[in-house]
Amino acid sequence: MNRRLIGALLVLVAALYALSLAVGPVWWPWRLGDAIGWTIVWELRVPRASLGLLIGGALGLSGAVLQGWLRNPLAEPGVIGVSSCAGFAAVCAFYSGLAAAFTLALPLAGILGAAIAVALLMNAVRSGTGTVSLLLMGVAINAIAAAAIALVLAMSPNPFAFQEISLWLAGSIVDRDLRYLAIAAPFLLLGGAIVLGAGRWLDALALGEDTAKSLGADTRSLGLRLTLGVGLMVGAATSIAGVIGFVGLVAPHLVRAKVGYRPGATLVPSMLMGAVLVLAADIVVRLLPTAYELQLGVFTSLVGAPFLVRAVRKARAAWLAA
Amino acid sequence: MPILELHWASTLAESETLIARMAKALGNEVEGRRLVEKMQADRQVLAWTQPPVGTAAVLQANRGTNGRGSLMNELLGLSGFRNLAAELGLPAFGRMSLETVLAGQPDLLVLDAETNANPARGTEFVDHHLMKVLEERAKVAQVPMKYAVCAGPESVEVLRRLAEARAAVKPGTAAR
Repeated sequence: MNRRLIGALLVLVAALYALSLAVGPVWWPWRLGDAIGWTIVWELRVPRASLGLLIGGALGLSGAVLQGWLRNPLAEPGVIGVSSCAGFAAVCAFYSGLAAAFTLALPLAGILGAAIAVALLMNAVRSGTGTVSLLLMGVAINAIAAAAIALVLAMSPNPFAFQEISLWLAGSIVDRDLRYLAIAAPFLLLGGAIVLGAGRWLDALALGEDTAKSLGADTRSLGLRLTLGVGLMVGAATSIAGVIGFVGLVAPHLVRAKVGYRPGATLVPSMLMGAVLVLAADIVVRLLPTAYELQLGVFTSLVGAPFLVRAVRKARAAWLAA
Repeated sequence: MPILELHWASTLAESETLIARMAKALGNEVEGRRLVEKMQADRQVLAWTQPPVGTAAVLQANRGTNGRGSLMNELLGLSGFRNLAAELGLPAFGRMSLETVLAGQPDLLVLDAETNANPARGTEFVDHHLMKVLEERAKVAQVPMKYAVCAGPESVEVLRRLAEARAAVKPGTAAR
C-alpha cells in the first residue's frame, strides 16, 4: 500500500512541477522559442517550482516528524511556533544587512531560530500536560515572534520594510532566484536525510518513551537528531519563503490512514504530500483573479485551518472519552 | 484660520493650477506665477517632440509600477517613451511581474536606487539575477520615486534624468 501511495504521489509531484514551470503571466514560456522564453523558465520558473517542491517536502516531513515525536496530531511547525521563531531570526539577519554581507547568514539564522523553538517546545511538553502545554507554548512563541518581527521591521531604515510583516507571516516563493535555491537546498536536503532514517524509532516512541527505551531507543540522542533535522528544514524553508502554515499539519493527516497510522511510515508520504500541497497552492495563487498575487501562506492557511479545527475536535473527543 | 483644500495633483497641468491656488491663498501670486513659468520653460526644453524612441518599464518596490493615468506615465510620454505598464492596461498604481517586464522587452528600465539602498524584501528584486539579464538588454535610469509620486516643480528632475537616458537609447536597439 505504501509503495503504491508513494508511487502515486511521485507522479503527482512530477505533474505539478511541470505545470509550475508552465503557468504564470507568460503561459508555456518555452513556446516563445527564443532566449526570453528560456530565461523566464530558468531564472524564474525553475527556482520557484524547485523551492515549492523542496520547501513543501520539508514542511510535510517536519509535520510528520513533530507529530510522531511529540505523539500529538496537532504538532505543526507553523501552529506551534517553530516557523515564526525561525522567521524572526531570519528577519534579524535580513534587515540588519548581515545576509547581504554573508549569504548563508539567512538560512543559518532561520535554522537557529527553529531549533530554539523546538527545544522550548520539548521542554514544555516534558514538564507540562501534553497537548495543552504544547499549544500554549506554541501560542506564546507565535505571539512573541510576531511582535519581535514587527519591532525589527519598524527599526529598518528602508521605508518599505514595515509593510513586510505579512510577507514573513504568510510566506511566498515568488521572484526567488537560483541563489536562494542554492543556499536553501543543501540545508533542506540535509535536514530531510537526518530525520528520514528515524522512522523506526518514531514507531517505537508511539508505544511510549519507556517502551521505546526498552526497544533500544536512545531518546536523548534521538531528540537532538530530530531537533537538528526539523530545525534545518523549517529554518531554511522559513528564511527563504516566510511562514507557509498548515502544510505540516495537513500532509500527515491526508496520508496517515493509508499507511496504517504508523508514525515512521508517514514520513515519506507526508514529505511528498507536502510538496504536492505547496506546488498546487503556488499554482493556484498564480491563477486566482486577485488584483495582486495572493501570498502562498495565506492560501495554505485558508485551506489548512479547517484541518486544525477538525484535529482539535477529534483530540477533544478523545480526551473526553478517556 | 482659513482652510484651503487641495486635491491630489496627478498631472503637471493640475500641479500648476494647485501652485497658483496656493500662491493666491498665501498672497504671493507673483512668486507662484514665476514658479509655474519656470516649470513650463524647463519642460519645453526637456520634452521630446519626435516619435517615441522606445518602451520604458518602471519597477518599484514590491513589483509596483505606474500605469495609465499616473504622473510617471505623463513624464515618460513627454520624454519620448511608451510606458509598458500603460500599454498592458495597468492602473496608475499597479504591479508588474519580472517575467512580464522581460517579455515586454523594454528599451529602458526606470528604477529607484534610493529606496533600494537598505535591505527589504520588497526591493530585493534589484539583486535578482533576471535583472542582470534585463540590464544587458535595456538602458537603466535611476529616478528617485519621491520626485515622481506627486506632480510639482521637482518633476522636472525626472524629465532631466529620462532625457539623459533617452540620449543613450537608440530606437529599436533592445535585443529582440
